[in-house]
Amino acid sequence: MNDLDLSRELTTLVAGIPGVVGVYPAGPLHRAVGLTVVNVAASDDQAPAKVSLVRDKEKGLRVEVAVGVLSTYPVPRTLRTVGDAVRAHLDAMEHDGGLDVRVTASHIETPNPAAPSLTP
Amino acid sequence: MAMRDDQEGDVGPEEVLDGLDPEFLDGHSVEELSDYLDSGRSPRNPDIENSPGCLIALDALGRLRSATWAMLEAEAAEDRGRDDKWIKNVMDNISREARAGRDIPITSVDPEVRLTVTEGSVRGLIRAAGDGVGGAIVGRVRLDGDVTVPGEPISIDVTASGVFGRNLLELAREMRAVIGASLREHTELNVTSIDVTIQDVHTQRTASTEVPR
Amino acid sequence: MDARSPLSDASDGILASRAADGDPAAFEALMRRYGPMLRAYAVKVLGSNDEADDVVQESFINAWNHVAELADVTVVRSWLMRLVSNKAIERLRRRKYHRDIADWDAPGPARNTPERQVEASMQMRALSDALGRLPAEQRECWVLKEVGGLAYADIAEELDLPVSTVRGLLSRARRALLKDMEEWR
Repeated sequence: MNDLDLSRELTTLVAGIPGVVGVYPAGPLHRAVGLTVVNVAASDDQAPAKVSLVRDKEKGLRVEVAVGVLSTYPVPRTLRTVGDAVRAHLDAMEHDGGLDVRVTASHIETPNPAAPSLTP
Repeated sequence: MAMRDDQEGDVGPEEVLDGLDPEFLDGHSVEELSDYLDSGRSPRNPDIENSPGCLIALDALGRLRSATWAMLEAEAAEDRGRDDKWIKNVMDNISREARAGRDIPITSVDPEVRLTVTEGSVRGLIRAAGDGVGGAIVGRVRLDGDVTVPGEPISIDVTASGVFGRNLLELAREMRAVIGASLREHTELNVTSIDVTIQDVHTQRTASTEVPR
Repeated sequence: MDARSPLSDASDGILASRAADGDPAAFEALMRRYGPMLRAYAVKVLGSNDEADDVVQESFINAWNHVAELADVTVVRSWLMRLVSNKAIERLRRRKYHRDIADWDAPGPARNTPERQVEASMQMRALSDALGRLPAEQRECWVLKEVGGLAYADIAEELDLPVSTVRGLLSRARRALLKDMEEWR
């Protein structure tokens, strides 16, 4: 499997986790020099590949995930669930060297915020 | 550029405005009066203020100015039905990442997994919590202290607007309570204080028909 | 967010502070509040609806990028006016390369569709028409000064005209408009 497909798989996996409302293109790593970076922009016609994958000979695989989460669930719990799911998915595959998974909540959505009270 | 620099020279005899020439303005020009109007008629110029001709011209200039603003308001009002497309255009073209701010760590038991929430998302959380208090609209949100280091003391500073008629002390207290609860539930920040400053009072111009839940 | 969002009750300062913190909903509320007015202003400066749309949209994108640098968030309206003025001036400057001042006609007010219910009073219509009849440079200078609040020197510098020319253009515009206005009475 190439990294673009892997990114798509991870994106779909993460998007399905309860409490996750969106998966966004991750991180400033797109601009990293001399590393193999999945180009998330090149995937308009297929399932989105928003998860960033960076392979480094010394440091191994670095995975960056940016999510929007719902405040209906405690945010730390949702983030841990995402981290565990990504970790488990990668552990089921072969990868050389270290693993560095970063999960960031870049947006916390509060559903249906209460309408302002009409009575002062 | 072939443009004449003279100020009054091209006004033909038929265009001469009775009452707007210097001879009727006690030696002042319309431009001078316009500048005087711009200055808010301050400092007061008795020479102008005591000239009936000048007062008439000032009045005309003032009416022209307010008519201009009224015209724009009226044209803007005609235009409101058009709003949505251009607004969507702009919203699609603004970058939200620029305001992400600092990365705030969340404990992870797995050393190979790092978890963070962005400062921008926590600001959004605080806004949503504060806005949820009836009659409150949150303004600016600041997280003071090094949020990137777990356990560092953090103080939260929030400005807000309270609806007219609401007890503002009580409003601030309720906001502090819900903001504190929300931060405890969703972050691991060591929040040592939450300051809510009600800096504005608003009325409900667009009375919502929604019932509070 | 719809037009009845609770945010539409908030002051400019509150909305600008939120926008500076990265709240898109607050920024949208500001756009709803001032967009139509700013567009009307841009139409008057430029004499063109299409260009006015572009100018207002570009100005708001600019505003989002810089609202965090706004030292006094309560002056957001005049700040937005200034952003629109600057973008409109860019257009005028570009246009000057393409036009011979002698044969460029200001388009008339472009919104005179007969079927549209015009709420503006006769007087405002008359003023709008009078503005539309002014030579382009007179109209540009007058609107930038009277609505945009630009100083003579700024207009002169931005439009590459001598200050004396700007004064002359303004003087003629003012006279023409005052004269028209006297006729409404």
